[in-house]
Amino acid sequence: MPSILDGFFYPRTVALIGATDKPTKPGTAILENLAHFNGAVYPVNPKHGTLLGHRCYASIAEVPEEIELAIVALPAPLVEYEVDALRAKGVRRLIIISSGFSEAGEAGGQMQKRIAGKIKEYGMRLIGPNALGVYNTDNGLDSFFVSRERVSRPAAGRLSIISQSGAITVILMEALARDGIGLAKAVNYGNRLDIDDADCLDYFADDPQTGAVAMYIESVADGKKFLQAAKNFTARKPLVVWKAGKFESGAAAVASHTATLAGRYGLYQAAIRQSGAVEAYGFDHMVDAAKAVAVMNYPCLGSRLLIVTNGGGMAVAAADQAGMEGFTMPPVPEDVRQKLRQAFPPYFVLNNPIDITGSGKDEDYRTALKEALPHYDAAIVIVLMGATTVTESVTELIARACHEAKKPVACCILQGLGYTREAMSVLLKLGIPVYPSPERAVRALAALSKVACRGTHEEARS
Amino acid sequence: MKTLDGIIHATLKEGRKALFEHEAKELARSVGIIVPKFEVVAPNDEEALLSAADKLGYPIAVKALSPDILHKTEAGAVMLDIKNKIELASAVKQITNNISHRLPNAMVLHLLLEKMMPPGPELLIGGLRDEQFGPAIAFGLGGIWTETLKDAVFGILPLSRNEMIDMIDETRAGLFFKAFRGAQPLDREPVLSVMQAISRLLTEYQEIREIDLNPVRVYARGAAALDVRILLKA
Repeated sequence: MPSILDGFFYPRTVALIGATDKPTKPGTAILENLAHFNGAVYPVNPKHGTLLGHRCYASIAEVPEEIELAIVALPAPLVEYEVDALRAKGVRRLIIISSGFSEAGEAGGQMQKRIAGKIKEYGMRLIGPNALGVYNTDNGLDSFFVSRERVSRPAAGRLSIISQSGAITVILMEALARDGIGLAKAVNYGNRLDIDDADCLDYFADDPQTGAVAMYIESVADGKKFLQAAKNFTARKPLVVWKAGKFESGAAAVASHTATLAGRYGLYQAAIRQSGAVEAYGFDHMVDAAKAVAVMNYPCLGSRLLIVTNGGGMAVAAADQAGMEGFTMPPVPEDVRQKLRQAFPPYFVLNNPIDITGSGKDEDYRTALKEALPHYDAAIVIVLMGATTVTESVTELIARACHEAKKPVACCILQGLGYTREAMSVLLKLGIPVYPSPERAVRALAALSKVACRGTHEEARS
Repeated sequence: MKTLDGIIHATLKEGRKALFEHEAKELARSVGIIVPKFEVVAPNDEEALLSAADKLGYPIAVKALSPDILHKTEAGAVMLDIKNKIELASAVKQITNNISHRLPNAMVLHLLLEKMMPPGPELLIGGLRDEQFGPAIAFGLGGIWTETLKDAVFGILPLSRNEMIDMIDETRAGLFFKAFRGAQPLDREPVLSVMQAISRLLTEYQEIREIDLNPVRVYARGAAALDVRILLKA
């Protein structure tokens, strides 16, 4: 049986209730974004005859086709009546973009309750209210009320986003677009009156386009359901979860030490750890970890880390972070060292880190990695693009060494302009996650190692 | 002796939210948690007090139990390391004094006498029932470090043995069970047994809202819960 959410991501026909051309209204941006959708779009608004070249219908009842998904962008007080009209039309799925419900106080909460009653009675399924809805690179469906001029959309890729917050969804998409990380699908479920966090996880677990999920939550609808869905998900694909809102206090009247220590966050941490997901501790960490799990195809199966660099200081910083993340850095084995000694000039430093210095060439990276990486679980490769002996070809050589060894590699290239940016985007295309600082590269590898160890360590220890 | 269900129902019937410590320890003992040997006497029965102390053997600890006192140490209701009957008499007097100053309306119903336990690293092992995630257990540093270092992690039930080991490994307290500076690591097994026992209490007694075993003292072999607090659902 196809998932409930399939109809939200792959409708053939979409009606936009509250379509308009006023630049400040959400209905305008959504209609513009729906121009990229490869299905049929039916704008509804009694005040317009045509909009963006579409015929605009005065009401949902006038739309001649069966509507598989309705996107509702009306002022909150009108929404509950529109739900009746949508039911009369036979619409089964809706996204309510409008805000002004339970998040806005008592009156909004009452309206939300009435809508909840109707949804249930009518057998409809709902994303929202107070939600951006869905984004699908597979068919161009985009219910987000932010224009593409303002917020870039990432290219198609393997990562999907589940977010309780619309704001985080949008800046995450922008960050992925900026860093060149491809996106499969995104969903922001807002007040989760019906479709919730666990439903989204279940859907993405089955979705063939999704290879990994980055998830932002402040709370979940049902703790047990979330834990089960996350467990099922991580059995198949990597999951990165950022739980924000960590320090709200628990129940006011707690009397035991245990309850005082728990707050809500302690239990969320438990759920994330037990589910086998990787916990992200903030925005950058989430983007970095998501990039690693979405881009890198090889698991990190242990803690032995190799560092190859052409700049000493950067490697020292990477080694410090490696120590904090629980990596070990055993020296390069003696036979490997002898091989490298013959291949390299005498001033290259052949410990771990391997420092090919500012006069190291593209090919030297490959040589170092080819010989040493098979003896390690993962590598950090640092390239200072300012060294005149390094060219843009270095990216391809690093990637080749990674794919030959089938071991995870994270690159650190200091973010700069033009030349450097190009190298970073090439590396990503070749399946190597790349980061603008050594610390972030190491943390991303650590995230990757957490994904892997969940899968293997139950067996390893039993 | 009251049955365990009997203890819980009597507590609820009396309108108390917390079990008396000796009752909580009875419950803990029933699922295999080791607690110090204890005796309970009426607050003004001097003869019973002395014979209970002799039965346990000094040194002992004395605690005043009252439905009005939730935090015994803060109320001055605990005296430790009492070595003989002269110290015992003055300890009881001191406790009575403390309570009449700090909580003048508190009614002391029992005196709990306990055998002192040898020193050792102190852990917190606890449990609670969360409205979202259901029953969960906690593991971390206990004793005076509980609030200061906040070194505790949680686990949502049911938990496998390996998931409990994960919990221990997440904390600083977990280092007690690894060899360091030539010292013998402490035995993790009794701690895992306590975690399993608390899980059982939470599963079997739906009335329990929170459990605190703090401190749990860990020895080269074995672990004992020196204080057990059990709170019931209102």
